[in-house]
Amino acid sequence: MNSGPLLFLGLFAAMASSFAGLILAPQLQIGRQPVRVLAATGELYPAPRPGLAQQGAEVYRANGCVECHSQQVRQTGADIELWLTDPGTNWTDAAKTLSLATPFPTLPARLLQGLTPERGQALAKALTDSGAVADVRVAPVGPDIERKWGTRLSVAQDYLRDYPVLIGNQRLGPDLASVGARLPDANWHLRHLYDPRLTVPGSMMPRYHYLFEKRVLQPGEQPSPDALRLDDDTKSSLEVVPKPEAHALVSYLLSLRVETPLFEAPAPKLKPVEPATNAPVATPAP
Amino acid sequence: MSKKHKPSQSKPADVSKPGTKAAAGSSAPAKLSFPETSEPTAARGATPVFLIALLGFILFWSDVYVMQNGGDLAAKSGAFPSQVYYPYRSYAEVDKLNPKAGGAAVMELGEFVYKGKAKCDACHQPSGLGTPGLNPPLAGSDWVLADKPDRIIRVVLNGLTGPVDVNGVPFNGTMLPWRDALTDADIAAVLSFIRNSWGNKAPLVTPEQVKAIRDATTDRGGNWTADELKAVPDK
Repeated sequence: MNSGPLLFLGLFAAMASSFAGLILAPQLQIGRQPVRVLAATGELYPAPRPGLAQQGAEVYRANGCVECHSQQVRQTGADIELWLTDPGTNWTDAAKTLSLATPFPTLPARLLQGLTPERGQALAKALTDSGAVADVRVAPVGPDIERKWGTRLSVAQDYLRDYPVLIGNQRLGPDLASVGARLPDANWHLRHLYDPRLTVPGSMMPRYHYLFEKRVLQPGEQPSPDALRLDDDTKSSLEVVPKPEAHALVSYLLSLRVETPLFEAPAPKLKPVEPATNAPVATPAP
Repeated sequence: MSKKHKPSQSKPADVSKPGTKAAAGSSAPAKLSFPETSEPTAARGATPVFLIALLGFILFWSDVYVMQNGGDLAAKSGAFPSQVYYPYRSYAEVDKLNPKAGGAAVMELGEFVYKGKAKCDACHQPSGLGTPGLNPPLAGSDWVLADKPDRIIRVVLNGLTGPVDVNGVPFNGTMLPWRDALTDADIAAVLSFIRNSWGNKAPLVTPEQVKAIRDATTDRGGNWTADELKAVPDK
């Protein structure tokens, strides 16, 4: 070993550069982001999870959901669109500026797409000056967004309340980053966990029936109001009642929503949806 | 054979030597038991040309990558700003995509200030109708709907105390000053909000208008009175 120090330095440089590139640089760039107050609503983003959803994150982790489900919406680009909310009284003037003549059956209507930000702003200003209400919207595009897995890309800010971050690296099942916005029905999730084939025919997800308790109903006994409504439960003398873990997991799933527009992730604003709560899962009375 | 066995018999401690041990189990122990005649050495040779070319290309590519994805290297957002994610390339590009404070955004911020940040609705009510005798209404108020918002900007900055007539109806209460609690943008937004809500319709108030009056009245200590404000032109 004539070149021991040289060899050591080479190895050290290789390790140090990969550490610097993969850990140090991202840490300096996006590490230590604070929870931020949204200027528009004054709410914290990301909002703290309800306690039940926080427990559900542990159930999610313990059952290895992260092995098959990712929690990251990807985006490949963004389209700039011009939307009209109210044509105003001088619509003919406004239409002339855009050489458009048709009135719109439903409002808000998309007038143009594929604009540059400057051109969109200029057109919106021209329409606004003529009395109409028009705005420029950013429409994220990408395969994940086409699949309705989310409305915008996931950014570091979205994961600030997660420890550990359950981002996943395989997509044997659909992405769950925004599953609470996509499937807001708690009962759907409970049935899906009990037997995925009940709600999604052909699903290859395993059953998580051990998160539920099967009880034999005594003659004349009414099923629990919390019991799962399965299709054949009128004939059966069994009832399937979700255990607390199942409720916690569903509460966690419903708390997953990546839709708030952020500065770094511009997205069209959606109608506000009811946030996840600690309230017991509503089951329609039998 | 004889060479190998001699030392191990005379010195039993040598049996534990790795060379000796391996030789004992091997089919050709005599050859392996000798130390190697020469050590391999590392010498300096000429670097291949293709390696230099490859390194040059990698350097060029990484430079291009930094230029394209490094954000605004010259702008104040700094190199590789944390707000820029793929597919967006620079801070300026992301900034351009975000809605500027237009009509809808100002009204949204104004509503937040009115109902959340400053809680104006505690006295002036969510309906903008105020409290009879104490807090004047904002809906349809001649003060709010004046052509120039100079008087109401002063009211929000320093507050108002004492008797005041709104639409000919007397009120006598005290409004707190908001000079230190609200920014120019907040005050402009909340005034724009009250001038365009509950059936009101009047031009928006800009942060520049608020800033001009804030700077002009920095020395003013206490609340305004209605008579003082009447001296300010509102047309």
